[in-house]
Parts: sequence; structure tokens; C-alpha cells
Amino acid sequence: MDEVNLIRGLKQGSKSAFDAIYAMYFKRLFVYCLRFTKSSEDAEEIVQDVFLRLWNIRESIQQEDTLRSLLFIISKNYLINAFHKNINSPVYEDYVNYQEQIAVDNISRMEYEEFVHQLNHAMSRLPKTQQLVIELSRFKQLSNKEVAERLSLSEQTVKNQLSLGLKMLRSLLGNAPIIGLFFILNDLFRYVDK
Amino acid sequence: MKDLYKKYVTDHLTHQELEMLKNTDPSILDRELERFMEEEWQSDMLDSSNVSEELMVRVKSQLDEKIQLRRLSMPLYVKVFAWAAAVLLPLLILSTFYLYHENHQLVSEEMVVATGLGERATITLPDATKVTLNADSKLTYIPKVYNKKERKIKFSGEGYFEVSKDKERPFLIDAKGLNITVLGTTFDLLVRNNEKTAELSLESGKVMFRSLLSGKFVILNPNQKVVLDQSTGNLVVMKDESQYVAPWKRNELVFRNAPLSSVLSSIEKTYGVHIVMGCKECNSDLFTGTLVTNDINGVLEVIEEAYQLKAVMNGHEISIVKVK
Repeated sequence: MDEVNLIRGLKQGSKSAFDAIYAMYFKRLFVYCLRFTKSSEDAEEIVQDVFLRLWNIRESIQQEDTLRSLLFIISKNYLINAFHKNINSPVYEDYVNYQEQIAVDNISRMEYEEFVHQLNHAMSRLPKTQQLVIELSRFKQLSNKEVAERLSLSEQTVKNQLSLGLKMLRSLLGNAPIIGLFFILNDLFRYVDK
Repeated sequence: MKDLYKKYVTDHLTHQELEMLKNTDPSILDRELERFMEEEWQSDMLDSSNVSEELMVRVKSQLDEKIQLRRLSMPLYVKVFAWAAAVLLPLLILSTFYLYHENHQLVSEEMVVATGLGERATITLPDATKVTLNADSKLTYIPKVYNKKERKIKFSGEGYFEVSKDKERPFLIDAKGLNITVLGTTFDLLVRNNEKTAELSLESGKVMFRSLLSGKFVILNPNQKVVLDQSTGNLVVMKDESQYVAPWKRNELVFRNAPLSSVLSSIEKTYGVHIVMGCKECNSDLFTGTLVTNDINGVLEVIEEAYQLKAVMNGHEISIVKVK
């Protein structure tokens, strides 16, 4: 069935026309979204939202020959927000630093998603306090004083826990196949002396 | 600029380039980004061959569930309506009245906290969230349902929010032209009915701010501020330059290149006074500075000095004239 007929069907509320349109555009839309979200989970969610929106507005669709541009318009805001979320994320910043470093050392590249996964896995193996301290200090960007307040600890304890945690992360990630992660921790160590 | 986006999608950004992106004016950033996104979408290079059928099917089944949910509610609605239409007129009126009364009862269990001009109030909600209301503000919530599945409030005016963390129950704010979703955070929100813009300044935590008009939304990080244009639904995110959020809470009014007319308007609201401005030409003069608001006389003195004006107070009426 060609797209013109599918669109006509969709406008009249045909679920099977919608299913066919979904099959037509899903893969392309997913790959496209992934380029901006850098996370499969987020890309899946956005693709779902885009098609859901398409279904909800089906009666007022203006396009007749192709939905290519309409899908773009619907996805635009979701992706712009995903972009902003990433560039402002401390973990993404670590990733960029890491990428720069391995480009220099010629080690094989890692996707952002894999990077986050490795980091989270290593983090979960840390003792609870060290985990919390690193999360608040680096990922939520609080000062040592603020972290101390939040967790009811002394500032010195916070510094100690940060130092211990980072050392442990370093050794944990050292055993991972991707050794390059070492380099981001140099950056993280900055925060011990804040 | 386009090169930076290319590098972003291919993961070849350098640290400096990332900083550049972060420091670019968001509206310019988004404009260029949109152009780039369109090119990417049309690009022949988009390789979708690695996407698994399993993924496509899985997402589709979740999608279908959501669509079904909407569809199911329809037939029921149609059935009830048909029944109601078939009933005799007096009975129809009676049942409508009864339903309205029922709803009205539930809805009217509202708790409202409001401040007038020159007033301030602090309210602690059932989940220990603390809200400090600035002058001329109103907060509404329904105690029966608040903190059950979610924590929802209606708001207008200006308030400083300290929201308790609760991952299970998002904190939602309904306000003119926008809604906000929050998960344990501190921020200042300014949304007044008669203002052209609304703003939220985030101190700590994370907030999702959405325009009802355009559907656009942003997720804010600490030390960021979002300004909503109520007429277009456009959102602008900027770095919050001031170290602190909500200067009014510390008894200060902070202005940066603000026209005198808006400074006077802030003074009116803060003290609950009415100002009659004798010097019309002065209204567009720009004012930059911090007014400590413990005492209105001190504030008026600053204005008098800065603009060669004289303010005469008569109870709650203040008239200002230009000194020759």
C-alpha cells in the first residue's frame, strides 16, 4: 500500500494504516532519535511519544503525500530537550573528557550509553556512603560543605569518603575491559580538594 | 556551529567545544540545532539496518497499550450518554444535578493560602514541603488527595519552594500557561496572571517545566533559570547569574536594567502601597541595584536620590514628583 493511501486511512482512524506507517518509519526514527538522546531508553520513549502523538492528532493531519516532515516536526521538541539534558549533564561532561583522552591514546571508542553503564555498575559496588558522596559531589555538583550538611557528616569525613570512593572506582574500573575509563577519574579527583 | 552538532552526534566533541555549546545563548543554539536536525533527518547516511525487529515489536506493543487505554474510555462514555438521553427529562435534570453536587462536594474540599499586597506567608504541606509566599500570591491544594498518588497544587504569584524528596509521588504545579514536575528540590517560581512572562530559578534538585501553550518543556539543572513567554509558549533557559535564588526572601529587591515603572510596581506589591508617578518621562529610565526592603522610607530615599525625585507619603498613597 503506498503512503498516500495509508495517510488517508490514518486520517479516517484506521489502526492498520497506523500500524503500517509505524513499520515504515520506526527504524529510521529510532536511529535518528538515538543520535541526539545517546540513550536507547530515552530514544525508545521519544519514538513512542511521537507515534502516540501522531495517532492522537490523526484527524487533523494536513500532509497528504508523505508523513516524513510531520514526524520530524513532532519529534523536534523532545530531541532538543534531550540534547540540552545531555550537554548539561556532569556525567556527559566526564564522557566527553574520556572520549578526548582515548582519541589521543588510540584505544577503541565507547558509546555514551556503555560508558554510563560501566560507571553505574562500578558505583553500585561501592559502600553506600562513598556512593552517596560521589553522587552528590560530582553528579549533583554540591560543595563539600553542602554534602556534609545533607548527609550529616563532617567536611573532613566527606573528603575522606570522596578520596576512598574514587580510589575504589579507579581499581574497579581498572578490571573492566575498557581501561580508558581511568582517565576520567583524574578529573573526578579535582573535587576532593573543593 | 553546525560542526559542533555533527561532533555531538558522532561523539567527537572536545571539552572546549562542549563548553562552547553550554555557553551559547539557548535561543541561538536551538535555532541552529533545528536546522541541523532537519538535515540529519533527511540525510541519506542514516543507517537503520542494525535496529532489531524485537525492539520494534516491543515498543509497538507498549504503544498499542497506551492507544487502547484511550479507546476503551470512549465506548463507555457513549453508552452512558445514550442511556441518559433515553430517560425522561425531569429524571435527567435530577441526575445531572446530583452528579454536579457530588463532584462539587469533592472539589470544594480545597485548601487555599493567599497573601495580599505587602504580605508574606509560609505554608507547610502534608508532606513537609515548605512554601514561602511573596506578596499577592495564592496556593491551592486538596488535602484529601494531596500526597496520595501525587502532590498537586495550583499556584499564582511568587513563591520560594522547598520540596520534600519523594520519588514515588511527583510534586506538580498547575499555574497560568505552564505546569511543573518536581522531585525534591528548592526553587523560586514567579507566575502572575497579569505578567507577560513566568520564571523559575532552580537552586537545587531537578525540575521539569512545561509550557501548556506550545507543549515545549525543559529539564532544569541547579543555577539555571527558565523564562516562559506566555504569548508564544516559548521557553528560554539561562544561567542564573545571581548566587542566590529568591532575593525577596532575604528582604531584598534586585534589579538589573529594569525600567523605573517596574521598580515602582515591585515596591507597590511589596509594601501594599499605591504610587502615583508625577514624572511620566522618568518611567522608562533604567535602574540597576539592590533595594533592602526592611523599611519603605529607605527604599524611597534611594529612588529619590537616583532620579532627583521627591516622594510624599500619605498613609498608603505615595505621590512622586520631579524636583526642579
